[in-house]
Amino acid sequence: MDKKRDLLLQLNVVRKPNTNLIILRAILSERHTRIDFGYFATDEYYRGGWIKMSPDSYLRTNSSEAKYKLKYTDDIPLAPARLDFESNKDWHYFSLFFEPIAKRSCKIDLIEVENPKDTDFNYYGIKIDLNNAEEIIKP
Amino acid sequence: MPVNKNAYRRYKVIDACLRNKMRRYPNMKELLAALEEKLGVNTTAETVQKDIAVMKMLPPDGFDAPIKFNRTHLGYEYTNPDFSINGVSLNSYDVDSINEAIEVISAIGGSRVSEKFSHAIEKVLSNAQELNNKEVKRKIIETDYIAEGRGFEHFDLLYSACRDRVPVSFIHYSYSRREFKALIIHPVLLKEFNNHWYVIGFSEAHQALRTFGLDRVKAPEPIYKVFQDTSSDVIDAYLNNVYGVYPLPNCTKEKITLHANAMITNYFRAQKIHESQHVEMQSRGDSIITFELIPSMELVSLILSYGKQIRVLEPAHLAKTVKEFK
Repeated sequence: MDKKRDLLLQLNVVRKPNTNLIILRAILSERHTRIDFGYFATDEYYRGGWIKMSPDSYLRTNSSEAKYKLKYTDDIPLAPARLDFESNKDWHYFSLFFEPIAKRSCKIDLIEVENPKDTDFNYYGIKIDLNNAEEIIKP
Repeated sequence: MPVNKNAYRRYKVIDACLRNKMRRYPNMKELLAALEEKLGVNTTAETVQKDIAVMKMLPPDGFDAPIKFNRTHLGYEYTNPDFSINGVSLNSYDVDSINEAIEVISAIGGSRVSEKFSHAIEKVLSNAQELNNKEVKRKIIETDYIAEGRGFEHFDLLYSACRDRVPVSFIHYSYSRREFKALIIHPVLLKEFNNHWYVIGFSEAHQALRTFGLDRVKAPEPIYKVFQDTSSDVIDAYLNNVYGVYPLPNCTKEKITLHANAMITNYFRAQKIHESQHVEMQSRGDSIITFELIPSMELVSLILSYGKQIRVLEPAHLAKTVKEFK
């Protein structure tokens, strides 16, 4: 596997039980592992509530004990800052950039909080199957 | 003999004056006035005469310019009206035409397209534009184009993908279903309708041609993958059978019949909305308008925009859809 290649996986994994967060894509590069998300505001909160990401979030894989720390985000604030929605019909796309995981097929967990509530953005067992990966054309 | 920069700038002004079809046969006084206006410095008649002499010299010292003093009109002229000291021979009519085209493109294509085009054409027009750059730019053409729509920043990438036949992964958000999805399309066309831009291509998830509003496209990434091409016949059929971009679900091409009152009939007679449109006039000025189309959201919107002045006679399902939106 050429380490310099950026690999893209279409995931479209809806989280249960709350289905208003979806992992859309994962992009594996030598600089970072990027995870793209979509989020819908719901009726649960007045004007849709808010979203934020814990700066202590990390990825872990089923093949090692290593933690791949969150490096930066795109379009979602790091707690305690937060993005307030204006209505319960708002929607938002955002990306998280973690330290790069190895480019090999595995399962990854996204841990925002160690003992999560339903509203935390934890995800478990995200399948990274490089047989289904596409290579991104770099500019 | 190298030409210094100031002399070259004077040559360009003289060249432009001699190519100006609107003011032919400039005399010495007019050349001096043009030089002062364009370059902001006073020039003597002796200098201009030397400049003309140099311009008439053979390259590399001059330009072999066919300049002659016309005794009938008491002014200078190029005996070859297509001559220019620049590589591209453009007369003032050509320059005006190009500037007009830039303005049209600016109006209908938005600032992004026009900026790129202007930048390229600037190289061609550099000399002529230098002569025009003191003029105040005044807008002549106005459209209802609204710049800076969401997703327009991806226009370049998607344009290149269509041109170079490169599949693109992107995130799509459906307004109607409130649904995100990562999709791969094999884009073939960018289409504008009612100030909105759309990308059309073969969608792997749908296994068919689909249209996606650029405002709902996020984070497009071109990918290495065999391109799933769509023949121009299929694209034409897909585009030509629909008014707008979004066909109503499960609809196929069918005969659509509307009744329009006399006032609305005028609009349809003045401008066809689709090439299949046929207007059958009635004795009171009202009309029966027919189309062969796949019913679309945009057609529904158009019908609704005319209120009670137009109604759907057939098909029944379209009449029902319009009624539901009222």
